[in-house]
Amino acid sequence: MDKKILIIDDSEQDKKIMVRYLTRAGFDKIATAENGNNGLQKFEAENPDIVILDTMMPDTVGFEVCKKIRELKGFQRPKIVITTGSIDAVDALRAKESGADDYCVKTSDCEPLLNAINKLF
Amino acid sequence: MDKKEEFDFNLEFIKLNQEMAVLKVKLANQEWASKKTNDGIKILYKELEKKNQELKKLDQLKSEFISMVSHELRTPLTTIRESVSQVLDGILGDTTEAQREFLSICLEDIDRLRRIIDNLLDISKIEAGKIKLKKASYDLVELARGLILTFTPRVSSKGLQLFLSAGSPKIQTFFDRDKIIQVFHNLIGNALKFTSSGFILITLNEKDSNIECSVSDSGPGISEDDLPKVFTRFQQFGRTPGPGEKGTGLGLAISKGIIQLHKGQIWVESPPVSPLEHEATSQKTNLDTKTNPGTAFVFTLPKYSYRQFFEESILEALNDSLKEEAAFALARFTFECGLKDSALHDNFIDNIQAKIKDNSPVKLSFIGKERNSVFLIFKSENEEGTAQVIKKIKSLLPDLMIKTDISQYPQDGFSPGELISNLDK
Repeated sequence: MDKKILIIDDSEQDKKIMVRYLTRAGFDKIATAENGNNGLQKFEAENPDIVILDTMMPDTVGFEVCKKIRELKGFQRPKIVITTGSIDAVDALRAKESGADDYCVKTSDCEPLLNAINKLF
Repeated sequence: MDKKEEFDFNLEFIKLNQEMAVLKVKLANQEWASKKTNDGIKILYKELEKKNQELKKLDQLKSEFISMVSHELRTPLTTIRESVSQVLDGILGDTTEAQREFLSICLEDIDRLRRIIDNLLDISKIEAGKIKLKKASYDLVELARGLILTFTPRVSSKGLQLFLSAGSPKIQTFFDRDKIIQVFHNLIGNALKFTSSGFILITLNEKDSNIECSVSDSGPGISEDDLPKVFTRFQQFGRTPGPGEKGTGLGLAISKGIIQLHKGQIWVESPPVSPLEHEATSQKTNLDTKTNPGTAFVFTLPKYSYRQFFEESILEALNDSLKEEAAFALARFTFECGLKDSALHDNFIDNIQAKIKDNSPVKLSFIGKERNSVFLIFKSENEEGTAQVIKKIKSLLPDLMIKTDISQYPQDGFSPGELISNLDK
């Protein structure tokens, strides 16, 4: 698939799992970043079609990164999915209000994430 | 309405409309958020359930592995033990003093290894729920007297005293004799290991709803921090054992399992509180309870009447679809208590009868009641089968008179209506 993906997540383990499953699902252009700042830089450099965001990161929260990406001018509007290990209705609302396209749980097989991405295209 | 009023009204209308639109979006967002949360919870729940199943399977595999390995270890160990003890006994030729000394050490450690393996087997069986209690009515006081006899040499050689205090001369209830002896062995063995001066006290007391047993000692006691860890398997804590048998760290976990199987409770007290006789014994032996507060292990066994016990065992057997066991329990019940409660008997007989379906060679084919006996009819197609039935009856009901006249009924098996015709003593 020619869609470019950017994963912004501070957990090495989670990143590895996501990259493995997304690669297996046919996505071969995957970039990763380990915090919000680095993520925004990577975003400007790569201009991805899909951004996968973790909720909690050392320097910021996923919702803030999501808002900043939405405010950036001069890029195509990417699809943004916010992922979390602990599901929360307040967080879900924050995700929606910060402009995310979907909000889903992290599982060991990444199935909900893949389903979410497939639904967006 | 003049122009200004109309204008204001329109403005208000537009404002309200805008607010409404904002609220609509908010509501839609809220709805979206709850839906996403619900979906997520469902997914996580499924994932948790899957993980739980995996863990259960792993735990079972672990238990099976332990039991398999233990069995495999036991067999060669028996051979090793036998060989070493033959050499040690000089059966295979003369040995020197030094050789015998080392062989004795070998033997001691072989025995220790065997105890560990036996304990591992026990704990894995308890954890897998594979232990079936063989309960019958016994006198705990008599059992404890036996224990005193067994342990006195070891207790005396350490310079300790062993006391028994029983609330009444006879305390009868239903339990698995071997298993409860095992618990007492663990508890007394422990007390012996950790006590260097003073006494070990066994108490037996009948309470309203149960029987309370305890083994207490005048040892250094267990610190408050360590008390909760006592029954955890492989737990080592700050009590230094004296010389002698080394433990496996499983004895108390096994004891707890056995007592729980008996529907009783077990706990530890340091210093002892429940065994009231402990303090009196301390005073009698002039011990300083400040330096040696002591420890008490207390456990309870439920008190059963014959009727309660047999009702329970018949129902248990019926639940496991062991109709023959149920029938034997009923026969045993009749033997012990007579046929006073006719309705109860009829109820059980109907229940057991309903489970009798197949007609394999050696099977219970009928259970009934006549005058003051319960009778069981076993059908067997040949003499071998008949012998099997008699053997089984004798093993389950050893103190019954069994009348048989096989030759009289050679064709259709025989009628054990005759066989257990005199269940009343």
